[in-house]
Amino acid sequence: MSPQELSDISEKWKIIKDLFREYYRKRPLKLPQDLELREIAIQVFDSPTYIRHKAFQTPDQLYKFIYLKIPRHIYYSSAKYSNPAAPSMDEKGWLGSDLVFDIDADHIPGCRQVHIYVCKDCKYSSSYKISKCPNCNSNNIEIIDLSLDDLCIDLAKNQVGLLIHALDVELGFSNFSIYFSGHRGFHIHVPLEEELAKLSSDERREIVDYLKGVGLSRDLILFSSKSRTRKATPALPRISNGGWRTRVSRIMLSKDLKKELEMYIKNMDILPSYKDMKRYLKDLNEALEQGKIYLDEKVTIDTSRLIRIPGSLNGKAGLIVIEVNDIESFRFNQELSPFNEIMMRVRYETSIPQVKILGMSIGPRHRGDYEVLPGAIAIWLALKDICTVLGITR
Amino acid sequence: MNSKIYIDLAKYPFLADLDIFMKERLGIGTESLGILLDPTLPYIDIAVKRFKEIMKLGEKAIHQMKLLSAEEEVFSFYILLLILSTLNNKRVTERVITAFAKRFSKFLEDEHGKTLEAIAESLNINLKYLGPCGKELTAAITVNGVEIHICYDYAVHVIDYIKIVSKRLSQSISWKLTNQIVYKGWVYLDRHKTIRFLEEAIALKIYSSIKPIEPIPELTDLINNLRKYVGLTTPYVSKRIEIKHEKIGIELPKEIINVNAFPPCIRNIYELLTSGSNLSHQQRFAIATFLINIGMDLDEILELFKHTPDFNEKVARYQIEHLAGLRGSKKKYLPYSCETMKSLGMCVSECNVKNPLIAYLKNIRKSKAGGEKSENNAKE
Repeated sequence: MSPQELSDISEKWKIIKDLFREYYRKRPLKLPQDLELREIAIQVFDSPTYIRHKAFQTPDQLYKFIYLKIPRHIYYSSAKYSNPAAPSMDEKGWLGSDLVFDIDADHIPGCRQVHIYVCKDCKYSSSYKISKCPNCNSNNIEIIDLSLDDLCIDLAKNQVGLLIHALDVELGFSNFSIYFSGHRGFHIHVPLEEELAKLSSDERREIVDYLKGVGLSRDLILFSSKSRTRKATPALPRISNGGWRTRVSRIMLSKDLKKELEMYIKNMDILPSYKDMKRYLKDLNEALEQGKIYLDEKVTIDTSRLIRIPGSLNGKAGLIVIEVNDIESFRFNQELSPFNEIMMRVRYETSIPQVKILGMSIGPRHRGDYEVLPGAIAIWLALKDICTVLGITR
Repeated sequence: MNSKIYIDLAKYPFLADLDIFMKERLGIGTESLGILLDPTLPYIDIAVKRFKEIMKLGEKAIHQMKLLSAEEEVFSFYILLLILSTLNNKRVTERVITAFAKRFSKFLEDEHGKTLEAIAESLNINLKYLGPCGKELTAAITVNGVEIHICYDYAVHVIDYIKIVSKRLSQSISWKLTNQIVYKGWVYLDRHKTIRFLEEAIALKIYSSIKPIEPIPELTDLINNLRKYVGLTTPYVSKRIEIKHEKIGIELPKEIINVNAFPPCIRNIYELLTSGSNLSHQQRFAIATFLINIGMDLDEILELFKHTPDFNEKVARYQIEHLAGLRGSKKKYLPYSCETMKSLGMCVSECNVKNPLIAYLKNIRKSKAGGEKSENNAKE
């Protein structure tokens, strides 16, 4: 990059960097007790590369580093190391890792994202898929995730509900925290200590497979060998049966069931008839599909994964990686941004169709248009290279 | 509840701490390990006899093994581990451990639930005996409205379950965590599965105690004898390969095999082989001759061929030894030339050499020139 280009980039991000700095001045990070054992990594605004293998003894030292660098993204390692600043994994001395799960709305079937296709050379944009720019013939096309349906977040919340129930009631991990990822998904952290933290990747994969239903056998779950005669039918699972039977029971209870069956599933001392049991087998098959949790398995299996620090800002969307105490009442709106109380003047660098972002309808807008937008929306668009923030109007 | 549970070390010698056990019975600890190898004592004979029987009969050998005294069982068992560590051969180790684990499993079948719990604890496994039908589920309902139950007598902590099954057992869907009854962090098992689970845990524990070692002087002759007995490659074979290499004018690094340096055609077949695909006759010939010529141990090659769906150890061993020039015409075969590979449709990339072996040699040299670690690999 030429010095001119570098100075343009740093000019472009100046206002946002100042806002990020101001945000981190409030010391908003939720840091682990064993901070000194974690690797810290950041990405800054002016370069796409990671600054890795950092380690800090105290929060003060970490914040000093943050004020100096103003990270666009900041992560810590799910792993604990005896020497977290060492440059190679061999030298770091792995002591174990927390268990981390990632649910991304865009990986869930049924979630529809609003993409636009932007020519990186001339900024021409299209809502339809293009592989070549019709304006300047360039092949340099970038897909930008402009926004996502509210339905996507609802689907992700539903998945989080399934996951935390499975972690707690089935696998017995009752100590976990849920975080909104600051963009379009959720992270679930299960802190592990000592021997448990030393689970290998293969062992973690077994947990992921369990949650995702990999290798799920309907016959084994329903003990089909016990009902192989024509005179018997598999019994519906009950909520306290355990394993996938518990998961499926919860899903069955959300369906329209005969009272008697509902009571049976809830463990009451009642036995539905052969006919009723048989009647609901179709719903049961459906429930077995609905119980599969859409996790990004790479995140869980990797024992040296970098994860976003709770309380930090996600540099893809400008929202806070915030702890969610009750997943049901989580709302995807502008309040997730620390900048929701300011207004910003922006210039569009790319045309966009009409779109709903964080609950607000905007557009269509053309390249070169000016607009004053709420801070949360302006920063969302700016971090996706749709617009440039020109100033703040408080 | 507090009554002490007695575990018979004669039946489960792997649970004995050898040092403590020696001190208890002989008044000296493992610093005088050599005493166990004294030919006037019975232990070494028991170990060798059992070893040979297992090599001959496999798991069936356990029916002929009488239960001896705790000293005889524990000391001979540790001598056997010493032999396995010295022989350092995967196939032999696996055969012996599998048979012994089956033997221990047979003993477990006669134990009370509380004893199984205690044995598990000695293996660092959190297992609970719940009592007969401690957890009961309704599995099915008959037309007449009769419930069919399923019973679980045991529960193992989910993390311990994962640690044991994820190594090998979970390849079978009936062991995958996905299909287990897991509730509040406990996996529920019936007695039959619990014993199979413990058998696996025992096998893994024994595996982890076997580390390659140099033969100790007292055992050198015995080890050489046993090597011959189990048909492990003798130095004679390596020499033979060396002569061949000199003849075709290339010197390949022997013993240490670098899969990353395989030419693409061989790499392709190698991956098919290890993924369990059924290879054509030509593919088998190409990979076997290649591996023989780069100096891979014949037992290791045989080990790879175990992945083939139609594997028959006797036949495969004969064929590999034949290709290596140890049988029949005593002619050692070279891999197909690149030209032949092309005409057989097995060539996947133009390497500009005449034989896949040369491509391997070039790749090895390249990695030697550029790599730090490969220097060690190239040395024997």
